[in-house]
Amino acid sequence: MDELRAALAIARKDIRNVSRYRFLVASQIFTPLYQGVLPALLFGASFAVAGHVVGLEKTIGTTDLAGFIFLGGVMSGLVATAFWSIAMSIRNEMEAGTLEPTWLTPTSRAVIVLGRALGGLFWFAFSQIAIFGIGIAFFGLRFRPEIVLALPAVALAIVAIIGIAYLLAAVVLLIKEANFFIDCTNFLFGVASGVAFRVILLPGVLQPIAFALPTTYAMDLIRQAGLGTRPLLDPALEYVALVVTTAIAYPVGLWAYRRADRRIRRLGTINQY
Amino acid sequence: MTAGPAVEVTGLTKVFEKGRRTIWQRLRREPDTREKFVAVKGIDLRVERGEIFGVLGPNGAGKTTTLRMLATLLEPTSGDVRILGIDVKTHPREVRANLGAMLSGERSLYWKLTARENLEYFAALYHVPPKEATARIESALVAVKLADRADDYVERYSTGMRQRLALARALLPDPPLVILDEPTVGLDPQSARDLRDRVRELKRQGRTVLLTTHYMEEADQLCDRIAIIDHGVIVALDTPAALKRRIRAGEVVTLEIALTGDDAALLARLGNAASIARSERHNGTLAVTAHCASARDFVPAAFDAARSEGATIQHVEVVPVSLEDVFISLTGRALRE
Repeated sequence: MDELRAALAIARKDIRNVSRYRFLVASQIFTPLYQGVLPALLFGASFAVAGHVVGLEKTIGTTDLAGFIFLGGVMSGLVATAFWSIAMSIRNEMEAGTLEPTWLTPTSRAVIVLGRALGGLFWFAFSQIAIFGIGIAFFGLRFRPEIVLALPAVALAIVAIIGIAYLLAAVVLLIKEANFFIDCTNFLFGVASGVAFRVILLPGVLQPIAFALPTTYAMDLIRQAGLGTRPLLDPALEYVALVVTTAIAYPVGLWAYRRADRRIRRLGTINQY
Repeated sequence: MTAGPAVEVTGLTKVFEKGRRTIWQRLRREPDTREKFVAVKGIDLRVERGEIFGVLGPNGAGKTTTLRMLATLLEPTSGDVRILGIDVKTHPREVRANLGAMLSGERSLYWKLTARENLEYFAALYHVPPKEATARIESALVAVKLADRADDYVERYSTGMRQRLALARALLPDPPLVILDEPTVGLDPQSARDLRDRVRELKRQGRTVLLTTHYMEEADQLCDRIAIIDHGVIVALDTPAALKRRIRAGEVVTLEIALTGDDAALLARLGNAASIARSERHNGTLAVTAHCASARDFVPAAFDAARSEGATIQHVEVVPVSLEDVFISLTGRALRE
């Protein structure tokens, strides 16, 4: 119970901290919109033939470009939450000097990441609601009612993403220059998860990586439920793959994070950057 | 938690490696040839409950490294540490639950939150029961005299106020032991005095305070006992009065002497009249610190010695014995060198 209260306090602190910067709140909505969703949507639309995205229809079985891109934005936002709101923000606290007093408390180091995840997920949910609102109002965004069936996939993806965030937090605590690492790996992770296009379009050597990521299966299951797209694999098999990869990602991430914690306690680098 | 000392340290050592060992070296299991730096060299320490214990030493002496090991932020290379009877290696979270620590001062706060919001956050992380949290926060704010500014953003605080807020945070778990690392560094005299008053109040409340400082006056005024640390080793440990008695002098005289020739003969003559703790030559000026029983006897003798060696005494200062003199007599160096 104490640990749950601590996690909620961390989330509340993160929400408060961000909300004190109005432009930062606005950027939660507009950054994913202008950096990801809109360019992809307009790029896709420019290849449409008489308004029909025939290529998309042939590849995945739907002409709903807006739905395809906006749902890709959901997974992209979730990935960005793991990379920036959870892992990189731990690095930012390290640099600000606030990580050390947090680590002086009896709250478990794992819960400290979990609390940040809750805060990050709040802003993720906030931005997705706003982005969907914009999509519905201006881009004709519509989903099938069956989209609610994707909720288990989203829930599993959240668990997987927290596991990945632990792994990333371990890396950013140990390396000196974390910004480039996070920026670069966030992009690659999103690409390999199929947020902007199907993973079967990736070069052959990258496809095994794509199929090793839980987010790839979650992405496909969400699009399948929301848009009726053709699945990559049998949906039941995709759920099994999602459960298995999540079951691997979480403990591996936690193990790496605990190793990093031990290492920085040995090296005394908690207040260095 | 058992009875016994607040802090018990045996053979505490911390060795840092300089440079990196490449993955290739690790894979090939090549011997670790990195240069090693011993920051703390097997120190033994016992801090009794209810005392203010100071660790005094120059920058880089190993004070902060020692405190970080006690606070579980840094893993010792070897040695044992028990805080309130709890082993820091096997039960670090239990140690942290009973420890209030202020290690990095004003940087350790969220500047975009108010003081109260900062304390609410840390109260939850210290697992303060929700029913007690509000009262505990109020009491901590009152203790550091910030109750009237509790709802201001920390970014609007002065450095001294932020330091006091960091101290309030350390009090949230109602800790029997409080660890403070250089608590008054960077503060103006008034703020430093305020903070020292708060530290004395902690003792009156029955808490143990372990602090590091390189301000000898602060250590002298606050501490019941002091460990002087240099190059990772405790060179002396006693009450401030007992430490000062060690140098067996009633007064300390500092001289600035203008001199053209060799200083050895002059120093030998001065040494016949007092104990020369330190001498330093910069071009034509010789600075001498002498420990003597009475300045009234030594100063005329020093003038005679200077005159007979063709030197001129330009400045004389007589001061009571301080911990700085103790440090100089033990290490041959001034505290701020």
